[in-house]
Amino acid sequence: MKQVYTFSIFTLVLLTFFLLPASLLAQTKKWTPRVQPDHAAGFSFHRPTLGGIFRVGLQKGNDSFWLGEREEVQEKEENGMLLYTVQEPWGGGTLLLRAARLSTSDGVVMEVEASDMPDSVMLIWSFGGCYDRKVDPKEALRLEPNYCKDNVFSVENNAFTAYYGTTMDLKLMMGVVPSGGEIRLSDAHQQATPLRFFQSGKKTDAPALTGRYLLSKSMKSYFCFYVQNAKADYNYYMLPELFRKESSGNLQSDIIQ
Amino acid sequence: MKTIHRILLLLLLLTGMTVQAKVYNVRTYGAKGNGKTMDTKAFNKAIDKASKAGGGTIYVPAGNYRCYSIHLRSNITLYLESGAKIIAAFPSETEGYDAAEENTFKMYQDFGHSHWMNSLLWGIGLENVTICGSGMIFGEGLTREESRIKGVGNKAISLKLCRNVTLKDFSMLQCGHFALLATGVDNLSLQNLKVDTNRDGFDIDCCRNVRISNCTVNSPWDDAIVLKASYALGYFRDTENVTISDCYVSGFDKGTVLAGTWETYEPQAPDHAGNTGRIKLGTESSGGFKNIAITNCVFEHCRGLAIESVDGGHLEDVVISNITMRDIVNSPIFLRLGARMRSPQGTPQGSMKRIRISDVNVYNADSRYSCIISGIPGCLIEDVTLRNIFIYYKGGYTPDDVAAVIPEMIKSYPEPVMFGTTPSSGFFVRHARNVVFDKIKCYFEKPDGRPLFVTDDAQISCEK
Repeated sequence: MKQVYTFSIFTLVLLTFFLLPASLLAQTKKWTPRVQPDHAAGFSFHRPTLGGIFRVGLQKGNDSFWLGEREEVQEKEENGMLLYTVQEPWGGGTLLLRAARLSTSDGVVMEVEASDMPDSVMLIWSFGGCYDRKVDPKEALRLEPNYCKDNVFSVENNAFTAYYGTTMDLKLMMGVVPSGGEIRLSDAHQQATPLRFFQSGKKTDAPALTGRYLLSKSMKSYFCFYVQNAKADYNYYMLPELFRKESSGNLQSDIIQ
Repeated sequence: MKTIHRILLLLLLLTGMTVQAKVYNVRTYGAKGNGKTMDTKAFNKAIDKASKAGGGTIYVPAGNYRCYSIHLRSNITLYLESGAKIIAAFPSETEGYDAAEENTFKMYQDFGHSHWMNSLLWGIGLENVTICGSGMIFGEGLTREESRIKGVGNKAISLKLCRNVTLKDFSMLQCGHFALLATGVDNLSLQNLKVDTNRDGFDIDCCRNVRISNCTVNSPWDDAIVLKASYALGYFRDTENVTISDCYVSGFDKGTVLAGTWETYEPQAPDHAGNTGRIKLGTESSGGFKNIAITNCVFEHCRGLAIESVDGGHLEDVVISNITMRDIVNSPIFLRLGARMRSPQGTPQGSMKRIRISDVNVYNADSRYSCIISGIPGCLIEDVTLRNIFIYYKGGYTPDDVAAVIPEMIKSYPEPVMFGTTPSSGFFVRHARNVVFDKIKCYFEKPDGRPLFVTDDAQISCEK
């Protein structure tokens, strides 16, 4: 049994090495271990204990899906940035998500650019699972309800602070998300679709945040998730410039390991 | 004869007009009250006009007034008509609240306590100020967090070194770090305020002669009514001669008390020690607390009563009576004399003495942390009487749940959680002298295997 296990891991490593594009391996080195991207414009934060998981989905009417589930997400790394492109299925619109790591703190700033978006398409996002325990980044691609217990979210307009850990060792993660939408406390037991998650309500032992906003035909919007410090303290109006700076290719930072 | 009557009537009307206080309607000064236009300038213009005329009433008719910092002045009454709502606007890239002023002594207390101008309504060095009426102050755009971005505001009402201040009748919703921060205010009266907020309710800091009565404060994420004695003024100043009476404090989900839905789906405060919403003395306690009376108050779905001195302040002559509490998430009664010493270097340790607590009924108290009376080695709590105390605990703990050694946590931020599960099921008394228990009854929903009383370096006496 042990031999089989060893062989499986070995095979997996080999397959990973040969199948993943070289750029992604480089990107993994650059982004991990503190911020772990998934392959659908989501992120998990490892400080090194799990500081949260961010996911993105799309909705039109009663139809919704998480990125990567239905439509192919094209992923590439460019000048230290991660680029994700997805074609929405309802009208041929394109969503380009570009993410850059913060040089001031553990965190990420993301620009979401919608092009040729049909009417009534909404972006739904979720953030939760601030667990304060080490979780293998490869295991943290899914927001497990047990990661969410006792997470407290203080939402102020389109920004939030997530409180987790224990009274004697409290930890915080900050988020700034696009304005003009709605943010709700939601039930991490109900993530089957983004819309179901968004509509799940706050009566739960696994609280997480969801939010959504309308994508206009052509628009740019921004997300930022970070650990606050004297240099990293953001309001939404700062994000376009923050993204421009952090995506300019100069990602030399003391937190990139 | 008719002419004489007419002349008399005219004189009467003229006399009436001359004695009638001048009223300054904010709409006259440009306020729109449409919830979109910024009305800050109109409010400040009306207040300035009244102030320059020697005082007057600033009238706010029904409407939604979006504002940044409103500057209070001496001898004014800000009257919020029924249906009038002052809404704290969110700061933008170009506009926001007044900057937090410099404070050389900011290291001795949190950022929120150290600055006053970064608020929705603020006044420094004023006298004879009243805010009243049945309207509302909605602090939507204020933060309860720690952002230092220019233009961010974090208090709904902030007063420093004022006297003769009355706040009455209005409601306050979601007010940032503090619904009210009053520092060094003398002759302060809070009456019939209905507050439902996302951090502290009333912080009464270094104030003298304070009446708080008939108020409702729901603050699940921090303390509801809290007396403090910080070093924010740059010198020691006691909070003294305070009465808190006929008040209701609670920790229901934010906004649900004013909304009347009384929700309990969010069991944790950000500090992860359960919903807060209590009456407390401390934590900032560089100065002292003297002559405090708390009576006829109701606690619900929140933490218990906390009396703390940890920064060198002398806390004495405190009388608490006629309190009823339900669904209490930690120690129903918590007395802590510690030595955090967040005060100028060389400040001697504080003291805690002459505290009378009587006629208290508590139902459904979480049993992990029993009542705690704890000083520190060499710094004892003295002369405490607890009389007619009835506590219905949930029970369910055993001695195996208790750590072998209960830490002293001398320098820690005071909360019952710092000791871990208490070794007692009823009262844990440590480093205390002359503590009298008289007519104490504890009941347990589930059996609790811990002893009712645990004492350590304590001199207590019990009467039946």
